[in-house]
Amino acid sequence: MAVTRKGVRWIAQVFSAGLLAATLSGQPAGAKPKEGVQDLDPGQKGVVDGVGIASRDIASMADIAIRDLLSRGDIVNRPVPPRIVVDSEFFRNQSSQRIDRDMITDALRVQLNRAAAGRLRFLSRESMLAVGRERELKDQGITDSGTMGRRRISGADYQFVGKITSLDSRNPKSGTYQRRTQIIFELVDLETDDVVWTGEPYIILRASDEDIVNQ
Amino acid sequence: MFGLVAAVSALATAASHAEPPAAPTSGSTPAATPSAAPTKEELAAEAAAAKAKAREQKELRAKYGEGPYPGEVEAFIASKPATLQPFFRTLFLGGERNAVLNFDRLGLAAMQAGEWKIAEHAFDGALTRIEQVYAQNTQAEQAKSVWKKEARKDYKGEPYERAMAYYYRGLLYLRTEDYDNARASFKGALFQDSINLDGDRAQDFVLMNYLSGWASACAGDTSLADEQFQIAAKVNTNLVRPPAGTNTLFIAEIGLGPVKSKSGQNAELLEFKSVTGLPEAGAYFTASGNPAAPQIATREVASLSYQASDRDGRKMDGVLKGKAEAKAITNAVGDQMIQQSLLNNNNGMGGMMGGMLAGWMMKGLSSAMHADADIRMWDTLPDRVLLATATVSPLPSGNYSITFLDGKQAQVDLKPAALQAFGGKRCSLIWARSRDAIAVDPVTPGDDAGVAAANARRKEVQAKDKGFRASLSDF
Repeated sequence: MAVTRKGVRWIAQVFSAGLLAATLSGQPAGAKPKEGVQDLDPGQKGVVDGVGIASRDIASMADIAIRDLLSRGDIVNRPVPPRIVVDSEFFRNQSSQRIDRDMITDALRVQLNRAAAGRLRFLSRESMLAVGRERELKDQGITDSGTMGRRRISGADYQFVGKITSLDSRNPKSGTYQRRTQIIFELVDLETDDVVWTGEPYIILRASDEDIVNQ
Repeated sequence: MFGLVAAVSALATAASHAEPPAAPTSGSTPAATPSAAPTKEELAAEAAAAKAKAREQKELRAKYGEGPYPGEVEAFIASKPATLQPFFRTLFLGGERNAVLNFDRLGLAAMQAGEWKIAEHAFDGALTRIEQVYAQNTQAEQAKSVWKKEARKDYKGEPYERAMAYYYRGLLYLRTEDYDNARASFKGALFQDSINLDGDRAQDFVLMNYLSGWASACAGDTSLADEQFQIAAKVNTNLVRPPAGTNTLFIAEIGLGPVKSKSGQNAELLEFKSVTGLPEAGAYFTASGNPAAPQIATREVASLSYQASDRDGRKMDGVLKGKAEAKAITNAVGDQMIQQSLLNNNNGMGGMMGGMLAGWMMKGLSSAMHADADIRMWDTLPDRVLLATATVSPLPSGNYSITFLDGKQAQVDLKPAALQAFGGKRCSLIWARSRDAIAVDPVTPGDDAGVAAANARRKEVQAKDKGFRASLSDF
């Protein structure tokens, strides 16, 4: 019978003290999983990892984009704050990672709204259905005009747009796989189509070794 | 004086608070009192009930570890659709080790039943685990141990099974017109297809390229669509780019997917066998209620039997080979020692007995080694995927019927197990299956009962599965 190097290695393992001990105890070496629910810092590396966008990236990319945008005096220091739409409609995912785009655009809008402190105004096009329904009730006289009277729906000056793209590769020999993910945010003038601001691309390059039992 | 009055008043107030509330007199309304204080008997009954519950929990824990306890399973599945309850039961009992497989089977059964939310949730559960990177995983370490079977590991499936989980999730995204995530899912399937292929070989599960192109076309990303359609057509001439304006995709899944089995002296070889003898080999769609409507012929675009066997060997195969050799060598050495001790009379009776004992110990060690390949499998997968496209106006597409054909293009008397239309404003999808994904044995196929039982006795597995069951509450 032909014996391969792996076979010899297994024989050696059989007679090694470690494996005999493992046999007796029935417990192989390795870290035991922690039990129960753990509270984690969303800005730090989680306990479950992959090669794509992780929790900490969402906080980090939003923070970088906001700092960059708020440093642009020509946009944020106008006498009349410009109106911006930040939603997922024009935030495209062309990557190989399934993701709820609202998670990114919501984080961006909320943090930007808080940090801008009135220097930017945000419009919710997602709420147009609710706005339209209420205006119809007011138009029909079913309800009164509210405490602030009738006003026009605000027009937007800018739309936040963005794109997620990725490049996957795998080393067939080692089983290591790698993904480069790139996230880009831009601000588009809704009158002229000019791109008035482009954030620095947020790039994630992660590699991972899958255990050979799953290769 | 005022101080004395205040002190007396304060004492009186304190005394009134210390007094028990007066019992309501006849005719008075006890509305102001929130609730009457429990009586001694009630307090005693509460304490006894708590004690009984604690005792019951203690007994259950002693008998079933961290569970699941009797009644828990029934409570979990009670609110689920009746047709899917057997799959939910298997999922609940199977724990993390079989979670991906049980999610896959539940997801596909839910698609057939039109339970879309359950299907989405199930495939998300499977894909989350498939994408999870395993490092220092106890079950994975055990799977590599010469003393344990490969089936100890948490199931992720072979590359074709993982790719199909992405495929179905992609179809579900197409249903909800989330074309970005549909494309991401089909790309995920392609990525799984790259596992165990040598560097100079290209991915060939080009149905996923085509579907990625379809999702891009539906999203209006023409250049991305063109790129993927071109890749698909280069490998499979049946996957030509649909003409401009095409808005409806027809998919027919026929036959039953490959069956896993183990062979070799020590059951260390994993083999895939095609299911033969099923009549359906083709299919066409027709618009329901319109006998004059033209047939929409489909073309074969993927074979799972081919995808399963078209690999360059798993890394795990090398591990199993090593285990099998160790098992065979240890057994042979044991035989040799016994034989030698019987033949060699120089050492007397004591020497002979010692030699035989050592030989039997070696043979005992050999029998304690396990090289068995893991044959847990997704049994409800189809064998082949057929595809057609059409331009339908107006969208969403209406109802269609499907007719299955045999190898000679003759009609087969076979009703579709599933026929679903996913309507959309930009694109529609008609999806059909020839074989049932619900009326199957709900037990995890190919599972090793001994491994499952041994696994379930481990405390850390019990704790992990307890967490897993808790996570199922959001289904």
